[in-house]
Amino acid sequence: MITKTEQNFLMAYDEHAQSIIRHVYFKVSNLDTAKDITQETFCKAWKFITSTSDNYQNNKVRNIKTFLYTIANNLIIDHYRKKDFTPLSLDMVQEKDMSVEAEQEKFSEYALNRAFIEKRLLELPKEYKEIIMYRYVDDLSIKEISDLTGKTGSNVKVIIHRSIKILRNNI
Amino acid sequence: MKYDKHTIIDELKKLKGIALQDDSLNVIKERVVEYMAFHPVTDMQESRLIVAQAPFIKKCIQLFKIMKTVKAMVSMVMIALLVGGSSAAFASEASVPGDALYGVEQLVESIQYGLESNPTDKAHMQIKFAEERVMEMKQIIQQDNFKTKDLMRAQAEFQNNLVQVATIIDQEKSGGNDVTVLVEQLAGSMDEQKKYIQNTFEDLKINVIQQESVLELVNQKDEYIRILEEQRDRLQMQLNQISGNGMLPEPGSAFTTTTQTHSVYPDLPVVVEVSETTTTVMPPVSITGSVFVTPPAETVTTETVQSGSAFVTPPVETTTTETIQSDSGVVTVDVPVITTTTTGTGTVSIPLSLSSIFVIEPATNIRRTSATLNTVVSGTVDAYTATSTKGQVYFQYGLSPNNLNKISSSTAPVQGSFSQTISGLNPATRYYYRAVLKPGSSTSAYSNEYQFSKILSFVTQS
Repeated sequence: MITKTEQNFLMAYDEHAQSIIRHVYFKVSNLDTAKDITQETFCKAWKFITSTSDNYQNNKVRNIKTFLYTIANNLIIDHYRKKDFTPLSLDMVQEKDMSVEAEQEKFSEYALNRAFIEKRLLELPKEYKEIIMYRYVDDLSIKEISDLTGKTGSNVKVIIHRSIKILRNNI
Repeated sequence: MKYDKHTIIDELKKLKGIALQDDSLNVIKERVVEYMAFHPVTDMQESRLIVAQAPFIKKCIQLFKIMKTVKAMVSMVMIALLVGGSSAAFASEASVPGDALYGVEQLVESIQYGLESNPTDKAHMQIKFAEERVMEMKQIIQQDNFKTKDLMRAQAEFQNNLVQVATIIDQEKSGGNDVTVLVEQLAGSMDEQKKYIQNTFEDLKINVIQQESVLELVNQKDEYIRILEEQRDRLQMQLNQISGNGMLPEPGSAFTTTTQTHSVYPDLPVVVEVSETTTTVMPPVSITGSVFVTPPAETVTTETVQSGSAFVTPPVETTTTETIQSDSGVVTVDVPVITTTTTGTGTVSIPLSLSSIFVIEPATNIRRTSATLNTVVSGTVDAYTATSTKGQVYFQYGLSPNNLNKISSSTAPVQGSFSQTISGLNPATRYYYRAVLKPGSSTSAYSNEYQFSKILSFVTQS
């Protein structure tokens, strides 16, 4: 017997697991770690949903997608803490990610324009990079990005607009 | 080459193509399903997860996918039931630390921390986190049947927070930044925290008196305080090292700048009392200084005596009081000088604080650009003078008592007089100086303590 909640949760898994693991992978640049973190993300999300503690009896998960991203980001930070890295060092991490190829074999790759990524995308300010990745790679809505980053919707829009402008002009 | 907006977005979307192709996602899914099987939903939680309505076709596809996983899930439950409650499936639960809410809270912390780039604020933030850990420990303990595991985790985090603080300070210091103020502030916060822990656990003793683990808790408390003190000591030690590296204390009493003391006992504690009178513009000033002189047990052969100093055969104890009146507002104080013949026998020790173990002497041989600075080490603290653990004695000097930025060459101290000639001075300029005793590598209690003499000054010839 499968409950409605379980059904919804598994649906959410099918829908978001691929994005979550990619998101994590971009930040930790290690496939095994990315898998572990993805698994823990979903387990934590489920634990939250089924928790019986009084403290969050009334908490509801309204947007499973941002909820999952939030947990995943948390776990990524934990991961870097454990490794004695500076947390949220997205700049460093991403630069490393993009050039590491050994582990990307298991990931399929469309014809990526390496020059575009290395010369333009990676040179964006950290904040811009994160938001534009959320928008176009992770397909999050403006509202969802706003929830995740704590910025207002219009601020997010402005950042996306500026990022594209920078990407266009950078040579 | 310029891209247009759509090309940019297309290029970005290509990144989506980086997708896992093997069956890892299904493997992870099986594990999640396994996890879910051991954390069944209750009726109350049924509406916890709100999912936006997906289009009909998409829904059908997903439903089809779910049917596959349902099978997997059912079989997992069956296996688990057969193997028994504590099967390997539970191991995955144990690896999920603490409480789900704890994770969310830590998330907030991590984000705060990650966004903060100023090391000082980071250190303060860690202290704040440590406080929260203590609060959490309290909450955990107050639950009816708490898990030691959770407590241990909070404790580990607590320790980690404090270690982080020390690390930040280390980094700052090695980066050449002045961390004195920060260290002082942090040491203060830690003291407060110590009190807080004590109070917290005092309360608890009453609350959980019926539980067996009370004794354990009390021990735990000591452990927290120990951790705290350990880190605090570490900070304090760093602070000492900082002050040993040229951060100067305020120069002595209010009279140091207007007073030229040329006495055998310039390090005497001079107590300055201001008493009210109606007759003068400036209040009259009374100077009281106490001289403690311990007579030697036996006759000691004297070494060369620096001018202005003397080995004396003194009375056991002398106290001198003088009252000086001044209308001009400038008071010149002469600390009582004991004059005896310089051929005296015995050593003088001033049994005050450790800082009195050496005495600064007036400078001699003052020329246009050079002078000889003198000091006498009179104490018997092994950390400084024992031959096996030689420290160093040297002079710091400079143009202001607050900025003694130059250092003379150093010598290993033994009991007795030291002189160093400094050169390269400016003519007709007042220089302030003091002697510094650097401890040797000893396990003695004083091994971390630099000793500083009082600050004196001289004027080079024009």
